[in-house]
Amino acid sequence: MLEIKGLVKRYGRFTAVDGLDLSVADGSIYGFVGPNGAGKTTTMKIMAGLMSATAGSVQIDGVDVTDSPRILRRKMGYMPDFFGVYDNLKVKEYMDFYAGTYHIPYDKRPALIDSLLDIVDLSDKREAYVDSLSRGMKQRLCLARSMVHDPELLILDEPASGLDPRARVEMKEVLKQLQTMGKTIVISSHILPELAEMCTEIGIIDKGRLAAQGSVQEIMRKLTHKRVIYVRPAEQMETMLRLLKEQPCVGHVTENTLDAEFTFDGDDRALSDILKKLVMADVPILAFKEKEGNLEEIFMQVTGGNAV
Amino acid sequence: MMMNPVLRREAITTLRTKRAYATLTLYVAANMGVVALYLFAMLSRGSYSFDPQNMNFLYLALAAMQLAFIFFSVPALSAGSISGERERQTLDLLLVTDMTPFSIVLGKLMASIAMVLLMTVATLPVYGLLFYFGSLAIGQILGMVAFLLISACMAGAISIFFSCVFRRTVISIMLVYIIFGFLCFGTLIAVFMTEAVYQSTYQQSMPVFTGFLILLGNPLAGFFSLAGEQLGTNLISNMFGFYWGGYSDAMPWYVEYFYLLHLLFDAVVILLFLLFAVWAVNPLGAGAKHRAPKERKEKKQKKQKNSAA
Ligand SMILES: Nc1ncnc2c1ncn2[C@@H]1O[C@H](COP(=O)(O)OP(=O)(O)OP(=O)(O)O)[C@@H](O)[C@H]1O
Ligand SMILES: [Mg+2]
Repeated sequence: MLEIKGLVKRYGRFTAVDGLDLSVADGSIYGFVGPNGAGKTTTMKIMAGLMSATAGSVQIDGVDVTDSPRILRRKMGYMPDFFGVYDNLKVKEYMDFYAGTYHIPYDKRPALIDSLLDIVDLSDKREAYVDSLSRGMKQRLCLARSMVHDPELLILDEPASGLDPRARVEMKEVLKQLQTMGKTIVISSHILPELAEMCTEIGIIDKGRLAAQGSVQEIMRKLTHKRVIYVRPAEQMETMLRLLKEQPCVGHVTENTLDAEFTFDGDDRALSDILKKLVMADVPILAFKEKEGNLEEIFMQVTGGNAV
Repeated sequence: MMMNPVLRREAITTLRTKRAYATLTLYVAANMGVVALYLFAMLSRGSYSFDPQNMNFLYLALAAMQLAFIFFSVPALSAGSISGERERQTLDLLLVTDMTPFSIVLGKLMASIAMVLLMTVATLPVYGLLFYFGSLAIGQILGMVAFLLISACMAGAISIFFSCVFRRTVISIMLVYIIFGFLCFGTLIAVFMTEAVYQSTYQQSMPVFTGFLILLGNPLAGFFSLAGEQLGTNLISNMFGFYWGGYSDAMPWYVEYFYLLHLLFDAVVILLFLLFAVWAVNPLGAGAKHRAPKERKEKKQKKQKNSAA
């Protein structure tokens, strides 16, 4: 488990991180969202032991990063926001080099490198020179590199930045696969919707402080104070609308031609009761789900909202 | 035993460049050129036999050339070792690995020395000629190679330290050249100046020991001391003999074994600069220092509170 307590980082007089507290449970994907200059990279560098904090602590499984950086470096993989590669080095040699930096024996390396390149889908580039790879490939290669020692925790600073939409989707697939492998992932981004669907938990950071934390639904609920539910019947629209309007926690109901949306401010139990009532009343329901709402709007609201 | 990964990678990437081979070829050619020139001069003087004495001079010229080459090339090879990684944004990737800052710095040092070693080995056949025709023993040639390598390590360690501190490689190279300029010539001037001061205040030469103490870090003095010892001509005592004219029959130990003292000096400098480099490259080590006073202050305040209560 990763635990950050009262983290402060000052560059001279400027405070980049201002008393950050957060904890990431094992096996979760934690999304770190915030606008430019929010302090994401700074926080992640401190987590990776590349920078010392002005105050506060970062602990992994109860061990402080600054006290025993080596123990923790074996447990975590780090991918920076900007990074370079070496000239005159082939992909397999690049991986071999980083395997060496983690003291992995020579005879174990070929199989390891093959399996990692397979995960990031670069197997056919084994013999290519790293500086000849495209940006997206380099990014995936760097991800593979950060996993060379099979870390429990991955700290990924904007792994999808600069990628085209297709490469972003591919990157997401890789990350989901890593989660099924049991890894804990901390990932940063500027873009909340990008993280929303794959993260189990989100922390919105602004001006060095944590503005909101929790699952996407929790954050939405906290901030909008009501949930928006989307429901689509196969027929009997009229019955459904009438039933909905009778329910206690249901607020405004918006009806469209084929479906409807209603605001709701009860708990999960009350919500499932509504569905039950609709089904008992023989309304053929095709879809009934909570709308994620406009994440961009929420992001703007949380981070000051003064952006255009 | 696993090879240092940094050294391994540098070896792979360097040997893949055409520049490495061009440098190597040029260097061997230059060494052979010196030999050819020398033989040509010898023949044109009408001497058709290999006089060991002549060969000794050639040996000295070749070894001096190696030393000069080392002092020019090692800073150029090592001064970018860390700043180059910083510039191409690979340093952080290296620092988060399980390698200690010490083994990173050591790998960098070995990589630059390996290149020098390769060049020296490539020119060994030329030395073989000397060995064959001259009066030198193989042990002596190896002794000279060891001297050259330790000198290379010193130049490398200082360069790497600057490389950790300064972002611009050019600045590091300049600083190393300035330091070596001072060691080679500054200390020499210092000896003459001290002598002048002694002459004007005490009307006598300065103590021999003082003179050699000032020259302790001078690689040229170390070189000539070793070469003199090997050739049996007491080069160093000839050169600086005016300081101790009377001692010539019983040379003080620190004159006789000056090259060993100089190498000891080199070893200390290498160790110190490697440690400085480790300190400078370690992100938490350097930062920890800034953090310490604040923590101490806080502890002090706590203590004061406790004692007040
Ligand atoms: N080395 C530094 N010296 C001085 N200020 C710095 C330094 N690094 C970062 N900062 C400042 O700290 C603040 C936080 O920077 P950081 O890089 O952590 O933001 P970020 O959230 O990663 O932003 P982005 O989304 O643009 O990557 C910024 O205002 C930045 O200007
Ligand atoms: Mg950033």
